[in-house]
Amino acid sequence: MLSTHMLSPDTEATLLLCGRLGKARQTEIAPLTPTEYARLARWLLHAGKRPADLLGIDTRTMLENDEPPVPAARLLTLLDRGGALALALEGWSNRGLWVISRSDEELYPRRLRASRSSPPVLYGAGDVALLARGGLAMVGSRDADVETLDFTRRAATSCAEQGVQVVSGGARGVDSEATFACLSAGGSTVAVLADSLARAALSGKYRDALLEENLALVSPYDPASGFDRGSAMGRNKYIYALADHALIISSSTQGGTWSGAVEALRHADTPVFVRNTGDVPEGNRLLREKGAKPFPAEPWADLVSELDCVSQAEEAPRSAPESAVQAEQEDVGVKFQQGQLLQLDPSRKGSVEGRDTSHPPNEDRS
Amino acid sequence: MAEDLKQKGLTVLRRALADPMAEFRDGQWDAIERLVLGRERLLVVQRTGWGKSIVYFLSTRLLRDEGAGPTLLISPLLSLMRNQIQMAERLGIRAATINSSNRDSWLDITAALQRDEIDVLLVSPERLANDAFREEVLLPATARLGLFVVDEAHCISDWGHDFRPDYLRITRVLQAVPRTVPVLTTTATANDRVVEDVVAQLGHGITVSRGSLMRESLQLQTIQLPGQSERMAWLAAHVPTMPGSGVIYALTIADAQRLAEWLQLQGIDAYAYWGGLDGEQRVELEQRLLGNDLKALVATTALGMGFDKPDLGFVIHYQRPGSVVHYYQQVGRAGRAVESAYGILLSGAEDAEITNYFIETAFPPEGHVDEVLTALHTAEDGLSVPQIERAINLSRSQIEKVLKLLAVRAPAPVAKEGTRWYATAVPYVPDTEKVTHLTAIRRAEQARMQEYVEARECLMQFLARELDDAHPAPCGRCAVCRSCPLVPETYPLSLVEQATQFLRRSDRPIQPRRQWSYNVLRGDGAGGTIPADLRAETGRALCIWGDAGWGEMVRAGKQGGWFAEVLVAAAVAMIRERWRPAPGPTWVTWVPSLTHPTLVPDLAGRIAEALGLAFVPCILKVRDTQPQKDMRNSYQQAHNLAGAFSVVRDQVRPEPVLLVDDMVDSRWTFTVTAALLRAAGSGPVYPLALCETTRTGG
Repeated sequence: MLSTHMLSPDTEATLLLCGRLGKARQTEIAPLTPTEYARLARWLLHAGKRPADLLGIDTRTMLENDEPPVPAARLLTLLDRGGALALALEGWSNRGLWVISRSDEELYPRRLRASRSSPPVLYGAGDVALLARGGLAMVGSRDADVETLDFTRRAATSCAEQGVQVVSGGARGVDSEATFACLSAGGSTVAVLADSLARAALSGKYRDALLEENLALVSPYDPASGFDRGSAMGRNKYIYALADHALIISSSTQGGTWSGAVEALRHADTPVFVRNTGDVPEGNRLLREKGAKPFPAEPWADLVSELDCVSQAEEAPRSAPESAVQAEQEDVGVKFQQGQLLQLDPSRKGSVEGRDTSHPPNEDRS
Repeated sequence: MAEDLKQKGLTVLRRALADPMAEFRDGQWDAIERLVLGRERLLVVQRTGWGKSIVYFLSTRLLRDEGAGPTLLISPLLSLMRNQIQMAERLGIRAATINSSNRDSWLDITAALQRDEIDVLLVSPERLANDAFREEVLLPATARLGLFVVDEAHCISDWGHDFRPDYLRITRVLQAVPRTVPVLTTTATANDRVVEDVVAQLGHGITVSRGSLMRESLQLQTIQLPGQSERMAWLAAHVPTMPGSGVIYALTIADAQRLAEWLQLQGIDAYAYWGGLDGEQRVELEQRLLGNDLKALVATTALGMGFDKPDLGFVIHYQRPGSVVHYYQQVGRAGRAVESAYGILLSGAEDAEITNYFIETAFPPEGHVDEVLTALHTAEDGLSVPQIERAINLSRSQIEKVLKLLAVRAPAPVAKEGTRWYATAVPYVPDTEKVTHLTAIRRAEQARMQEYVEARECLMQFLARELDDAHPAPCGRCAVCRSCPLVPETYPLSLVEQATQFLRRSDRPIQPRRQWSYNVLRGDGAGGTIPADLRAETGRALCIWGDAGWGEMVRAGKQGGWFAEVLVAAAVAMIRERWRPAPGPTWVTWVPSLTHPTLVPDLAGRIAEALGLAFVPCILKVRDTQPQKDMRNSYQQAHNLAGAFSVVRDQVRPEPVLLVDDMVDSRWTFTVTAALLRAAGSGPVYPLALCETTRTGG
């Protein structure tokens, strides 16, 4: 079991820079976005430093002299939040939550490290090892009809029976059906929450599964966060990133499921399948046109080979599945450890700055 | 740089003390330098009065001058906080406290913190552990933390001597404080084991600074007096000759209360001080002691934490504490700023029984833990403590003990949100090894304390060595060094006789319950208040189970199946001479029992006869119940009794009645039978028991 309140120095620094540390407050300076953090990490790397080096007594001098990519004053203010960090961390620990950062080599899921805009900090409950196990992402609307929910249940049950993990967004509707169907069939599952992790971790409906280590709840957002549309959208990419394959069960032509699927298709990190049997909504058909592959028909005797089979039959994937080696090369944390510098192209750095969070720099790997 | 800083520090110190020649005491500057220049984590072990506050206030001053955030100081005592705020002001430091007594000022103080106008914020451990307070007040106010100070840091150690659950949350906060923030923990009481434990708990790179704990003005003596009456006589004879004001420590609340009453009867200005007093009463008593406006406080361990009175004239123990660390902590408060002060340990026959009881009940049995966890796991949305009580058969204090044990684990299997407790996703693994280990340590400490009582070597040296002082040496002032008692061990026999009589007359009130427990007894789902016309009157218990008054005789009677005639006489004397219930009862009845059908009616019959009152059988036990003492909480006790009794209505008289039982524990039996009698038309009901069976320290 992870203990939250004894962090590695790197994670401590990352959390000070990127964590909101409790409820949102208006007066405070904004923590770094994943993009800003990635920029800072590259800058540190370039200077032969690690995040922990920002915790030293001479940090002020270092930052004020060296022109970091984020204004030094903002960094110093963020790093100065030691009291807030201590209280927030103790509160999470008190609820049985853990927190990990990109620098936690063993714990931070490799597949997320390599993903678009990988979150600098992850908060969670349950078995952190499940994050590395991949599986099938199942996404769909909050307000699903009975037929959709029945399909979800059958698919999640098959996954569980065939040892395929289910990754979902932990919302009501399809997400919740997928999670609990998988659990009742004895499978393991990961739910990537957009809000309220602290509350979910204490909820009776998840407790047994968390204790039996069949469920991991994980979120890139502060455990005290409430619902926020932007967060709900923002976490979609992590659902895809944590899975080997993704299944769109039902999508309208707008909203979170739709935009998440379109985004995933555009980046083609994870093969995207769509349910196209039965009475499927308009969104499913349009996604098929946009390149989502047809999800194999029931019964699913061997889901993984059937998915691979469809993938091969369809057009070749736009990017080859990442190898462990590639993933490692993308890994800022690993690079810190190895002390190998990635030469930063100044022109590229300039181009990076204009991007929004869905197009972060460490995605460019072609 | 360090020299400049030291000059600056010295200037501030000299100005504050108004002494141009003042110098730092041994270790003070070293600690300040480590905090300010090195941002280190420190544990400072120095005796009370060494000047720990100089260290944290000066460090604050110097850190603030460099632009650091404010200092957060966790300190356990309100009156001490006031002293510290005055001290801070002399050093030019703006200090403020946020605690439960100044809620009105919270907004102003929070705003001032946000404007960066406060240098030190003093907060009690209880406040720090309050989630809402942390989120709403503390977190925004101390996000920028310049220095974190925890006073009385020995409380961090384990389940040891002064275990406080709030301190374990402090421990976790301390562990979470990032390397950017210097940390100072201080204590005046710690042996190597405690120091090691604190160091282990606080983790990365903590430096320990230790000074001598020997105290030059303190004169120690031990006196073995097995009987309570003898010790009471000794106190009555010798407390008036003690210098100044002091503290007399007792192990249980009941002892503290009775002893204070006895000393008052002897014309000594002494008052009981214990955890159950309300905040205002405690502060008033502390202030009177500080101002030498009373002779002595008769206190439980509730007095001690952070209590600072430089001219305390004496500390006397009525009973032997459980460990040397405990003893030193209490006796070490005497005689810091006076020429000489007494530290006298009386030791009695009951000491071992009481300290054994505390050792044996320190940890909840695994069965209790299982029951509480099962209840929480079955709940969909957590449970409040009263809801847990309803679900399982454990007392509220047992449930709370379990919750504390679990809540302080890291990571914790339970968490509290608002008033509800939740099981978390953290599995519970019993730590029986730790419990066994700590229990063994406590047994060993108890044995060492007994050795102190019988010691033939210098008593101060004995204490210093037990506390791992680096240079223990004979003090030349204690009773052993001088080879003669400092205070005579003798006492007048007439006082012993008076004390025995006092104990035999020190009956205890039985307060009537005013609330039904969850309506089990009424069964109609209506409100929980017991209507005034169904309540019992305030009753009396003749003694405390096993005490030196009548307690032993009641125990013998209960075991032999017949209560001695002297107990009847004592009860009658109590009713006639001290209790005098008015309007007086005209008839007597009793609480029936199916397991001992004759014991109580026989007693009640004899009391009725001696009082010349009618003896009226009218309550029936309609079904057998579990013994009330096996029912662990109010809900279970009340449930156990629901429907257990009935009253023969036409026997009941419309006049005041004396309702007799042998023991009183939860008061539920009296509550239920009194309500039945009142409902059947009786007059006021006066409960009478021979003996009260509860025992609590603190």
